[in-house]
Amino acid sequence: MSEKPLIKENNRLREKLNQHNKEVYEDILVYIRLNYTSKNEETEEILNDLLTHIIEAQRNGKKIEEVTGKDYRTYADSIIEELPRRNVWKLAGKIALTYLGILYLFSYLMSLAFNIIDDAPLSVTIDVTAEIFYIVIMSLAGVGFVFLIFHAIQYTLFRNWPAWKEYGLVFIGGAISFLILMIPGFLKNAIDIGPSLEMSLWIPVLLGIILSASGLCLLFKPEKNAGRYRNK
Amino acid sequence: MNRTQILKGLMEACILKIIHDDIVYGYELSEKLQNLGLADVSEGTIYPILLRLQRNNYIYSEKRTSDFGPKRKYYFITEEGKNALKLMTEEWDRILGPIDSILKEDTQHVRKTTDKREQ
Repeated sequence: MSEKPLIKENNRLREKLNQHNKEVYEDILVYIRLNYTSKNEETEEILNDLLTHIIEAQRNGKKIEEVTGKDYRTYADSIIEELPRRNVWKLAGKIALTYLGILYLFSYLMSLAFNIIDDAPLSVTIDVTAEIFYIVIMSLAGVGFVFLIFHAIQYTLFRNWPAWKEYGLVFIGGAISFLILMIPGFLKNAIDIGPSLEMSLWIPVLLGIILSASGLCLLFKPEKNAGRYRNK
Repeated sequence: MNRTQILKGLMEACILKIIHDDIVYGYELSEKLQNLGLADVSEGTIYPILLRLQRNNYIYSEKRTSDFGPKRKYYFITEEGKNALKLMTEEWDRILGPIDSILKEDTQHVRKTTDKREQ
């Protein structure tokens, strides 16, 4: 079974848990899923194994703590530790591609819209040196931003925090990172060295569409070798 | 040090042995461990160990329909797993005696090299 049917099955089976067990299990699920160093399919598989175990334990009148122990985080960590590792660089590359694509698409789509409104020529001058600098910085920052959000959400789990505190922390983290991410954009406009190119505004917009579409495709494409445990 | 900590390394061998002896799925495996006297080990402890055993190719799993209820994931031992279990059992035999006597007997009478020099 590949990743998607496993997630579907998990969503269906999870409804069989009582409220307390469901809350704890869902925290464990989100915590383990957010661990970007583990392979997706194996992650979903162990999550389902654990879920079916908890359902059976619940049916026999046991609490989830008898399955996971009282320290849920330590238990989740012990599972993560044994999950097969994925290639994090490859994942970072896919995120960077998607992130750059979205960035290009939106920033140049905005310029395009404003130029159309202002009746200005639909062209843009791109400073090659500054653009390369911008692409490198933004790729690194974009990947860092995504991983930071994952860690921020992981941090909020198992703490019994009220929802406003959980979302608040993630929101503040996201807002600060976003503001920091704006800096390279301003710096790009300040650098004025090396050759520059003039082109139609549609080119970076199109580039944005291609980059984000291929990035998303790669991110959501099932991995090769997935489910290798069963191929015996 | 509590029981769970002492057991951590040994659980791998215990789980491998149970899978060697019988066809079980996760819940049954943990039930067997509990019924064999490891009642205070959390049931879920088996899952990280099952992952490790699979990674080392000691076991593999297969979804099968059970006599009652839904499809379950059953575990089976591989040839590599059988060899590993044999080694683990031999290792256990080697350390069981010495550790048992260290913990239960008075070790004061055991000779050290400095004893000779002092004489």
